[in-house]
Amino acid sequence: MWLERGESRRRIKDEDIWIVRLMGDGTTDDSELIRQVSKQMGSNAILAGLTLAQFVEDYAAFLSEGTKSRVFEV
Amino acid sequence: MAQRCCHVALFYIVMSYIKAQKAFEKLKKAEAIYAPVIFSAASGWGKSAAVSYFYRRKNVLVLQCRSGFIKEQPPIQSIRQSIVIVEDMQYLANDRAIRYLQSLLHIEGMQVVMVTRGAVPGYIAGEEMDIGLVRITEKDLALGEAEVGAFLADCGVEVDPFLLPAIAEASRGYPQAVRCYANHLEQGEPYSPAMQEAVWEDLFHIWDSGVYRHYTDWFQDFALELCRYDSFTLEMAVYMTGSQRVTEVIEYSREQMNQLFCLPEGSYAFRPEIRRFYCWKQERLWTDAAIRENARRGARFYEMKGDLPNALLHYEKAGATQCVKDILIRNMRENPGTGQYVELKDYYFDLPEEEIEESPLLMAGMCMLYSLVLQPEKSEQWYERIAAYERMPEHPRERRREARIRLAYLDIALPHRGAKGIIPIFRKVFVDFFSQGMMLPEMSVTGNLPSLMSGGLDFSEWSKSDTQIAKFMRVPVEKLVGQYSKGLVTIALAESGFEKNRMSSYEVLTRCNDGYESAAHGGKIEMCFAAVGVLSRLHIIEGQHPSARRICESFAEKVRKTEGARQLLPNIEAFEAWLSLFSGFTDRARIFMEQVPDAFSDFSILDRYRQMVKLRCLIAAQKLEEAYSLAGFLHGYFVSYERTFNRIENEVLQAVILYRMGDAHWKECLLQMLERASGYHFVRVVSMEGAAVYPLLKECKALFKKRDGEGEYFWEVLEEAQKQALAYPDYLRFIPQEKVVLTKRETQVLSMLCAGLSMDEISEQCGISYGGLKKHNRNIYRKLGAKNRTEAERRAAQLGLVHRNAQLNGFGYDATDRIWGGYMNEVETRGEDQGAGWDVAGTWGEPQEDQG
Repeated sequence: MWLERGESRRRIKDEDIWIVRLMGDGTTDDSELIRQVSKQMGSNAILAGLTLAQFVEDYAAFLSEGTKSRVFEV
Repeated sequence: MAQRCCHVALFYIVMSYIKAQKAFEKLKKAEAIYAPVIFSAASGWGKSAAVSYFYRRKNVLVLQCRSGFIKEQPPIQSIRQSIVIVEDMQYLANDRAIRYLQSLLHIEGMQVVMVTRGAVPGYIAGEEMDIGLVRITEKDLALGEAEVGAFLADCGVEVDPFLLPAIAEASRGYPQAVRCYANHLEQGEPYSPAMQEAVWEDLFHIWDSGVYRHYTDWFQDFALELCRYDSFTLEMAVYMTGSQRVTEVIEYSREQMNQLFCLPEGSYAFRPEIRRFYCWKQERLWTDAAIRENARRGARFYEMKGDLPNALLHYEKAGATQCVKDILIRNMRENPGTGQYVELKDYYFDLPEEEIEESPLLMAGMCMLYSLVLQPEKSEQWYERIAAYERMPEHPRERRREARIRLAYLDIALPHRGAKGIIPIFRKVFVDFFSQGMMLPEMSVTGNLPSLMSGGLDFSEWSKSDTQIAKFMRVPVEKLVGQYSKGLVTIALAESGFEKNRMSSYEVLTRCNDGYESAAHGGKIEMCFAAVGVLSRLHIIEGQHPSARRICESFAEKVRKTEGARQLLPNIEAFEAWLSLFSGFTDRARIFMEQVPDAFSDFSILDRYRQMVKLRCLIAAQKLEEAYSLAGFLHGYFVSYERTFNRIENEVLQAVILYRMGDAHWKECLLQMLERASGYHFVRVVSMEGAAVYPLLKECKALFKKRDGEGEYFWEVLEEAQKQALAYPDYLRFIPQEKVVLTKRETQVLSMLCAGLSMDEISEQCGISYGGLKKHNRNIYRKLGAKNRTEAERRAAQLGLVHRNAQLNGFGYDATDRIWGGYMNEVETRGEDQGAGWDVAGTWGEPQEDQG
């Protein structure tokens, strides 16, 4: 699975694919994301937040501009 | 009964009197108008000798005060002499005698000359303005080079004229000291540092036998207890002496001996030479053990007050090595990130390695210290040693646990590791520590800077997705940084939005205010400074420079009054200097530039903000070579420590320096910087350099024709920089500080121009033709290096020729009259209409006439 923006592409790490799918399924509200990730990982909100923060940092160049649906491509 | 003045100092008897020029000039002026004079100087400055010599042919009345009252007090009506000399006035305490003296001061046609070793007493100071008191101080009595030469010659000592400046400086013009030099030189000794020491010794013996023995016991005790300290507060004096009478003693010392001076913020210090004397005396009266005990007591006081450098200094003097070590360990425990490592670095470096290796805390301190002073390899070596310590089962369990905590702390806080990969470290910390109920030491996030983006660590990467990162990291950060988290996320978002020019001014303002309030109530003042930094920058870009300064000044005031906030002051001072640059290269900026130490000889990363402001000052002062070197040095640090934001900021300035040096590489430097900054969409870091960077950006316009894609960022920066350049045209602009010489007429015309009068009004007021006025204008513009009236007004304000507010407020002619008097004194005027041929201040082409 890849992310694409303009001429840049980035492969999504395997361990992050489920987060992309979660977003792709329409979960875009940040609080809801934390809740979902927390549930999925069986962890508390702090660790879920850190997981999501890491995700955002890793793909920041693809997430910072424009809408998420336009950016995500498989 | 009154007596004829016959008091003559010793050196007046044995030799002819050498006049202290300044003192005599003042005496002459005072005598002409019967103004009262007070001589206020310590023993040996030749006060009485000067008075005796000056009035040697006059019939004077001498009144002695040694016993606390005026010994013989003739009825005022019966005094026949027109000059009254009051000797030893420092002793005067009797109310009746004081009233008598006050009456004398008001008698017309009588001159009173008072001689005191103390300060001007309160009962005289209160009337100083009314009676037109003339003060003669040690500065006036000090002998200059020529006078020292004459003095020595009079003693029969021949000295190489080349030595006179050295002797004058070493003796500080103090006649008693010059006399001692004469004695040594007379015996054929060559002038040398050893002679200087010998003269000090002579003076100490003179003071000891002549003055010290007259002091009260309680003052002697007070002086000996406190002489080892640079300065002291009342509280410290009470602590050291164990006496509650210190206020009285200080008052006594100030009034009767002039030995103490007041420092800002209510502390006191002995005069350096007097302090040296008391130390000398202490060594003769006290045992070594007593001196060490005194040092230990002083150290304890400093330690209680959190002044660790002084505490360590005096513990070391006391030989208390264990106390030194304890403080260093405690500093590491209590202030792991912001401890005064750099000030204390000599103590840390002096500790034997085997002692450091026994303590995970000290090892962590060394690890942090080496990172702060740009030695990351050594820092990593200490990190490895802590890790090895933690792995060894033979070490006590508690200490191994301490080592684990320190390692986790260093993983996050070590400056040279940057912010990259910090989230997995956070995760590890939460899994390993918080889940087990262990806590990390609190860590500073701002590094005492007016910014979070480039605070303790560089958070540029997080700025790319600031709102989401803020949402996801808020709770972990709050948990991790404790009190520092108050206001953190709100201010960080405001700063990120501000830097990217993606947030309205209103939102930035609101967020900063909210963040400030939050930090001010239960948070940390460091965070308030970050909010103040963003708020001030916001005001700057809005063209509200005075508001920015006000915000900063009032915050600085708050910091000065807040205990435990002094660590912010150096960067606040730098911030104020930076703000002043928006008005041109001000005195404040110049003084700041000269104060900041040379980065090449003494640098720690805590100095980076001060050095960046110094760099701007150097550019403004046109010291481009020096600026180039400094920028190169900082570049190395920013790159190796991954300080992206600082790197961009520095690269903007590097491009400006190269541009001004005429080096074609400026463009390459600028374009690389723009590429880097556009990756983060950082607009302000470039555009805030306004007038300095705008010409460079303008020259690159052709490369970014399209206003979309990459061009979009460039044009946004260009437009913002242009706004800044228009609002602050003198920012980092080099303004020659040459003396501008105007004729009287030009001065008059300039004053009216600045007050907003039209050309017609000016020509009418001055009674000159319109053509004649135009000629004056041309000359004024040429001398000021201005192209038009607006620039002339600005230059006049910069050079202090007129008060800037007067122009800005658009005062009318009445106001001009008011400001006129002031600046007429400042401008050096030459003969009427001699404009042609004066030094030209600058060449800006043909002046344009009256635009107002």
